[in-house]
Amino acid sequence: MKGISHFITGVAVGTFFPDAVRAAADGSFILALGGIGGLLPDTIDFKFARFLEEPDILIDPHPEQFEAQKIADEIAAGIDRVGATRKKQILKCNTMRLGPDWWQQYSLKFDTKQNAVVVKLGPIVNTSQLPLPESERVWPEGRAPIHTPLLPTYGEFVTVDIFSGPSFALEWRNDRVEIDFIPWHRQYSHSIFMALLFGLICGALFFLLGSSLYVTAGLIGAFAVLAHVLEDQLGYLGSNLLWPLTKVRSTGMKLIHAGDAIPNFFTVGTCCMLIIYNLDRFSPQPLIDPLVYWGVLWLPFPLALLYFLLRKFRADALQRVPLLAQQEGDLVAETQEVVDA
Amino acid sequence: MNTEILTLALYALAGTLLASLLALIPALHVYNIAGIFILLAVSAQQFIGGNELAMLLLGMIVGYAMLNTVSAIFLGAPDDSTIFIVLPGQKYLLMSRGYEAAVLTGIGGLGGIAILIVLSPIAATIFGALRAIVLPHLHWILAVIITYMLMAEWPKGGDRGATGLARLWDAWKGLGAGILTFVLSGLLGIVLMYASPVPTDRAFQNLLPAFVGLFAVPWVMDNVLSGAQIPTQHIAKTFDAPPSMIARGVFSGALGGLFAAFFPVVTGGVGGYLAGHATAQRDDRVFIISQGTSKFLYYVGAFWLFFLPTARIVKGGMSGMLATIYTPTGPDLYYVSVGLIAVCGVLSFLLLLAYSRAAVWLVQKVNYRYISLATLFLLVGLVYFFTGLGGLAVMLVAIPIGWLPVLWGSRRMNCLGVLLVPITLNLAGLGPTVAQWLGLI
Amino acid sequence: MILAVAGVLILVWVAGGTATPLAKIGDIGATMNYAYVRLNGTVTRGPIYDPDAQSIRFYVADDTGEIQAGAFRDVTQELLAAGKIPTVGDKITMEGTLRVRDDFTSFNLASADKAQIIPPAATEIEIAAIGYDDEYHSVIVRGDVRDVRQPYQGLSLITLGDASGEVDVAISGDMEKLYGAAPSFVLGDGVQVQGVVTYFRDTPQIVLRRPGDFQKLDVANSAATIIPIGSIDAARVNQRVQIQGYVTRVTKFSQGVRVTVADDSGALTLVLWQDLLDQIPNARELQDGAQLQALGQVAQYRGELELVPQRASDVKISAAVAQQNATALPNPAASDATAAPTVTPRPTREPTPAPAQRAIGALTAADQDAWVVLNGVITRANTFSQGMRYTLDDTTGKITLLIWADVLEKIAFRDQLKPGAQVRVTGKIDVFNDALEIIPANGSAVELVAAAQTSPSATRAIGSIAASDVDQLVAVKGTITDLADFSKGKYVTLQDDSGKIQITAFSSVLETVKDQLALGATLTARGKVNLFRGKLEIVADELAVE
Repeated sequence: MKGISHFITGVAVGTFFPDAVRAAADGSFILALGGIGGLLPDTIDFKFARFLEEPDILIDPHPEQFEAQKIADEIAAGIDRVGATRKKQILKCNTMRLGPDWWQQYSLKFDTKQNAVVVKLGPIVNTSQLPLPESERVWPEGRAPIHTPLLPTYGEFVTVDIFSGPSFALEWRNDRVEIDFIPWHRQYSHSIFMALLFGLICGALFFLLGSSLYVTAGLIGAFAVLAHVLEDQLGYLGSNLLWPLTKVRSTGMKLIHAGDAIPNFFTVGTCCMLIIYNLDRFSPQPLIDPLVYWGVLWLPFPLALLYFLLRKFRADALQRVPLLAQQEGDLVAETQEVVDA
Repeated sequence: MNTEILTLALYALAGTLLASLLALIPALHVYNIAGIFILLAVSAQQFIGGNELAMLLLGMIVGYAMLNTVSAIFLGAPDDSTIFIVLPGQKYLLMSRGYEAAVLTGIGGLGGIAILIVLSPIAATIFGALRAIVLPHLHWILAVIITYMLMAEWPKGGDRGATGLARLWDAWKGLGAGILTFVLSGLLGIVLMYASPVPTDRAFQNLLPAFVGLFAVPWVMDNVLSGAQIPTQHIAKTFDAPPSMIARGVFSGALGGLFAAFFPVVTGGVGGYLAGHATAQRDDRVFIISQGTSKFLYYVGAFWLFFLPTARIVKGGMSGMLATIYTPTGPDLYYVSVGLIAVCGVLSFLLLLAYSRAAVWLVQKVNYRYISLATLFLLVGLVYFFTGLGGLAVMLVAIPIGWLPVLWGSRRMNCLGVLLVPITLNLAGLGPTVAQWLGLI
Repeated sequence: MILAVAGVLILVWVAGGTATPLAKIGDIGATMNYAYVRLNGTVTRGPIYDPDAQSIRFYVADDTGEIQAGAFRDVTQELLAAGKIPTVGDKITMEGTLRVRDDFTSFNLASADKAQIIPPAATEIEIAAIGYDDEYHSVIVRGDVRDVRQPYQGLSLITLGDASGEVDVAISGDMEKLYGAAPSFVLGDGVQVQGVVTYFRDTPQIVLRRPGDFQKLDVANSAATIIPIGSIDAARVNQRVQIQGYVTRVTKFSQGVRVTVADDSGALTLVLWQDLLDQIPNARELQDGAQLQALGQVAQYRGELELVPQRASDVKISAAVAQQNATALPNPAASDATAAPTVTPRPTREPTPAPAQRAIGALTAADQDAWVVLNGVITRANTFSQGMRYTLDDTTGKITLLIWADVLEKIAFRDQLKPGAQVRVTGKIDVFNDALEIIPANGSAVELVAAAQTSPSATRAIGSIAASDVDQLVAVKGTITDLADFSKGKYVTLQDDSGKIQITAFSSVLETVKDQLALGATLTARGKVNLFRGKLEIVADELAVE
């Protein structure tokens, strides 16, 4: 889900607490806690966790001296090193910035069929990832063989272009090297533990500020984080829900991708309607007729979602994409969404 | 009645033509001109009736909402509602497609007119009810928007650095600059609200010097200093946007524009930005169209809400000023205003096509640096004319704040703290307390 | 970055050292919308306190004009906590933000600290000496309570009299909401009141600022009890006393009537001036043998003691016929009224001719004082301080049916006297303000021919009105908590125990009640439910103030 969907879901969660809505009408900002909680997991990941990750293999190419073969060799050597030492390695690919809005794109692929790493130069793109016409240069592709068994994973090229590049965890599991895409994402920040922790912090803060609504504040904070985590579960890649008890990210419900327009629109629209409905419901003189509101005004949103899901299931049936590829696609979409927000 | 409508239509068309001339002057906000009209109308109410003045201003705002794109794209002088258009607009300009960008915003504006017409019979019910429900909650809703704006600014650096902390610092430099921009512009807004150097008899133009300093001057100065060269522009025969793309842009822009028209303080740019996120739009063309719609609905929609027969909503600078001397009455006037919005909107679109061609000619014939310099002098002159030396002082303070996003690559939207912070604090009843902390009152 | 930070800091510093500009209220115009200014002036009305909305509103005037000022939420709480509630008469200097609208300009107080209030110093004064020079000045008056009335809920008027004259003391419901109720008292109590002089339609009144400013004096209450007439002697001249007895003689003179009232202890002349007589609803029952109770000031005229009542409500008359079973009436001639109706105790008057049924449209001013019978439908009902005014319509025309309060009390079906009811009225035609009125003399003169059909606008609890009632006719009754003008009428906020609703009243509907509309008044509104700016409202077809 996109940031705004998570955010507005958090706000909507808060409006289910009548005392919070009434306090808000009297000047309190308590409902903003929901929004903060809703975006907190991604904030932790994208504003802190990613920078604290120490890369073992750093790819930092120069746009004028792009050495595709050298990059491919470095990555392949890193994978082989994991195979030899059984020690986890973090691979980080930096971007190439050409100007305020222009980036030199390159891409890499873990070719599990050929057991090789492929690296190639792409076009110049703007921050919206739209290529500059005729900017693609003819450049030799880099290809390096891997001598270690590799888990069949995302079969497509991963592009590295705008803002901050992706990272990969190369880890020895089940007698082969597994590649985790963006390993710093959706770990502890997307767990029930984080929901509880943020709830406690919100509650404590309100308690210290002398507010009688500290329990409500705690609940809003916790449920907002939890709502984010649960929404992410709708995608292909779930979250590490039970951290620190578990170490890996679970599989999601495979219903949507993070960047899908209609599910995001459905979420934002429904949450906005929920917020308005709850504000009205807990006001001294409610105006909304629930039947008209939900039966007529809300109707376009579920209909659009239904249309989306039908189309998606039909497409999924026709084109079978491996789960890992879907999960990594999800992460790509989310990363792109986050960086160009 | 027909003669009366015809008279009103003539006033509206006159307003559009007037705005179309004024829109060519960079950063001359329609509210400044409307302010002059209000000043004149106060002293000359016997010469022009209330409805005539209202329709004149309606024509002006329609013309301005459609045509202010020209100076934003070709002269790089944005205001609070066009800051989001300047970046993609100038990008198009540098790709020789400035004309196309201007036309795309115009198409968005036409979409906005269609949305207004469709909504006009039910607007009073919807907006009236919505207003009643959210009125006690405006403060925290604005706070939520601020929170999202600040939280959803993601790091643009941080790749390079020997240690985690070094990378974190690299990433947070831009974010910190964004937060600082927001805080400083918020402080500026609080000063303007409680101890403005602008004379009290010009209080309704309080924000003009701040907007010019925060948005227009830094961009124009950037153009002067960078000595940007504008490539030969291409006048496209068709625009590169299929109907589905236009529909997506208009839909997204309509959500944002109506949100901005309805909610206090939220500008067309912010509304469009939020709606763009909500509808997951990423294409530049969709973005430009949506900003065109959003900007149009922000200006015109807010003024249109002023005429709602049973739910008159005073939102936006134009209706705020007009409300001080005039109260619209009756559904007839409302529907006349909707019709005139459509007529003036179509006229403005045709003028947009002509003006964009004229602007293309201008930027190719005259050195862009000279145009920017002339724009800069004009901006300073305007601020002095409307707000005196006090206004100039405010502008001088605002310019470095407006420069921060340019220098640090953070969002210019953070400059809207100048509006968002004081209004949110005021709605929550905290404004005077904060002003007292600052020693302003 | 340094420039940006330094610039803002310098601006904050400079702006902080600059005094807030002082504005004259009369100079406030459209271009000053949202200006933060300082105002100096005198509080001329208020406080108007709404505990639900946590708002305090008041009016301030300087030598150039008047403006409504308000404090909301936190500022209201600060004012309450600091005991700085702007009250009529206060000199005030305040800072805040101007809001200018076409139809209304207001001032929002920034904080409690930004209001400097200097209460007025009080000077002792005789009531008759109160004049325009004293407007908004605080005065202290002493006197006895001569009348108490409540024009509407939320305002009590106490008529205070001293030897020099009378003045109304206004006690607002808002003051009582803020500080508690004023001390209790009864008619005739001697009191000292400190308050601010304001003018209501060219008549001075004293507005009580605090309950403690109303003090009961430790003097005998000669007016509270009925004293024997025989005990009234020259020593009581200028005192107010109350007597009870029976009428032994009624003599007309050029400016009124002299009534001799006797009890077992003696007799006294009661002087009723014509203007006061005209206000006594049942003055025509003032005849020999009638029972009479009167409160007035003892005077001496040509060596004779007289009692001079000063208001109609001080004189209570019970008809002679009602006295037939009373004890020991010295005038037995009046005692057989019921048994022998032809022997009426009205020897000096012509017999009243039998009233004739007339069409309303045929009545003219020439019919003044004629006794007629009218049959018509009530189309409008309005209360006033001493009774009810109805509009009677018989399709040929309309006339005001005026029923005094004491007559109304005797009409058993008075609750059914409402729009739609058909009545037959026997009464005297009068002309008041160039309009014809019919005034029934007693309860039996009003007959209910047909009750009003139960309309869909039966009175409902305000809170029960919902969006589903839009376009339905309803009636609500409540207290006025807010009044605001708009170009074609007034917005009236009505509140009962169940909720609040806005009544939109256009000028045509307001016409009959505009003088009675005030905060705190109890209002019944009938009209259609509408959704206005998202809020439910009632567009009034009919208003009645109690």
